[in-house]
Amino acid sequence: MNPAAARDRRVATALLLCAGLAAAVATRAAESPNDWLDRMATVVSTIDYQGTVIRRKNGRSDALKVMHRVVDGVVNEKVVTQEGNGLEIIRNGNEVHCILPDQKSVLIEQWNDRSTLFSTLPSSELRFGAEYDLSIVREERVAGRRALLLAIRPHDNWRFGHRLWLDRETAFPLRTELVGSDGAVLEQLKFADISFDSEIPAEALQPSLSLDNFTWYSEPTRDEVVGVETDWTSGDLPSGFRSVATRTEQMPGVDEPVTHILYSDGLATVSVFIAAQRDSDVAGRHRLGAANSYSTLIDGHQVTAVGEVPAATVQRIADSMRRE
Amino acid sequence: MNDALKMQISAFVDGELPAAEAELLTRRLSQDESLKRQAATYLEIGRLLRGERALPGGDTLRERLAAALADEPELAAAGRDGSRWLRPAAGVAIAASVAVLALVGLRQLDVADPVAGSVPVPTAAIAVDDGSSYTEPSASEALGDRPDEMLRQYLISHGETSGELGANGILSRLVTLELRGGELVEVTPAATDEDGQAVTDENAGTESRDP
Repeated sequence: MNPAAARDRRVATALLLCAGLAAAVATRAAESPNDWLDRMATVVSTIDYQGTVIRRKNGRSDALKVMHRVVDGVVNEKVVTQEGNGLEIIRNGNEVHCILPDQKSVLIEQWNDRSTLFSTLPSSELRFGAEYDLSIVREERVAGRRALLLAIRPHDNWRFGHRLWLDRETAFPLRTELVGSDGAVLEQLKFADISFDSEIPAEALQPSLSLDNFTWYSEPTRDEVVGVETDWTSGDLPSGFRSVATRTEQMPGVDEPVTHILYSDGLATVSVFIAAQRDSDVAGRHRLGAANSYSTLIDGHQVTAVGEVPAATVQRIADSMRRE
Repeated sequence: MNDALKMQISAFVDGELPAAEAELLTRRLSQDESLKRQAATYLEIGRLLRGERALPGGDTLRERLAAALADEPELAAAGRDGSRWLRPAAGVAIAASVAVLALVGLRQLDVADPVAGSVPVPTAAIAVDDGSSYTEPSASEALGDRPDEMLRQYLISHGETSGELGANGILSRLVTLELRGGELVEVTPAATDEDGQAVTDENAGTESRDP
């Protein structure tokens, strides 16, 4: 082989190796945890599915039949509890009917169109940053399907962690867990069975029972002004939290509007409510499922922080509120 | 011990630490008594929370850790006596007691410790955390002890606002639905279109609609 030909072969080999390396890098990039989260965010609102979800919370479990389909971009969903009061939630776009058979009642609600069954994680523009580690842990089976376990682990104890089991084929979340700092599962949603390929007829998304003689209710109108300026601010937010929305709301039984500031670290959210102090106001803590609240009195106001974060976090944020 | 190491041990116990890191941690554990006790605490808590009497099989590293911890008399005793397992480091104990509250399933609406100057906490809402028994709440317990009206409004508002960020799904809304009792406005049923779908009325709640 002459020197020129040998050189050409070496160049060709090098190019092939580079191409192979690039392909390998691209493949790895395509399977990064963030890519999986992006795929999940898309698939939960675009794919049709039906199955049975097991919800575990506070040591109790209940089963729900779930159907979800998208027609011309409009989300139709139906969730039916399989135990207890037989509650049905039927969603057509932004209008939601909550049917309570035991009370012969239907509650009509208007929901923001970004809420879906599994939208427990914020959308991508609020993607979390340095406060969490995101990693692919291993592959497991959920609902008879291959699933990839993604762990979102906080770096400190000011927020909860998440585990997501995403379907290998579709990136759909087959199982999700909210995890406390001690590793305890605070809330779990898991599909016992699911199908993505079966056609869901419109009738299947109708109420399962006749609503004759049911009483219909609407949610009360809540007067609110969004995007307001406020002189209240936190002087000691846990790292990563920032103010993402401020509004005033008129609450029942309170003369003056309540200021509502929403803080987020991109994953966890905490609301701070500031109301003029009443004689009956006291400091205190409450817990509701995975949500904690803490109220304190500051500068003639009752300040209450609420969020799906540890109790210490709502207390720290509420105690840190000051007027500028 | 720093937080990163705590998280690493916690990940290890959860079976979520990559194998290479787990090997390194195992070596470190074998040389550090303090770390070993911390890991033992996490492992024991996890076992107790899952109600396991024995370690699950199939995970060699975790079995090795269990074997390495087998000579911890305090934890062995804790395994026999559920009331003693809250003794380890205070932070872990507090976090674990929250999980025990969840395990005994007292109720969805729990009133936690009052802070100084607050009104008395309803005694029915205080959990017994001895971990010695499992009791199912009655329906009346599950529905009892609602937060006061103002806090109820705050929880509903928080749920809705988080939902606008896409951070709340239907199942989270079930909670706010449970909070709504007593504040609903009666309306007449919505009209439906040819497909049986509800027709949205922008004046819902204020204007009558034909069935």
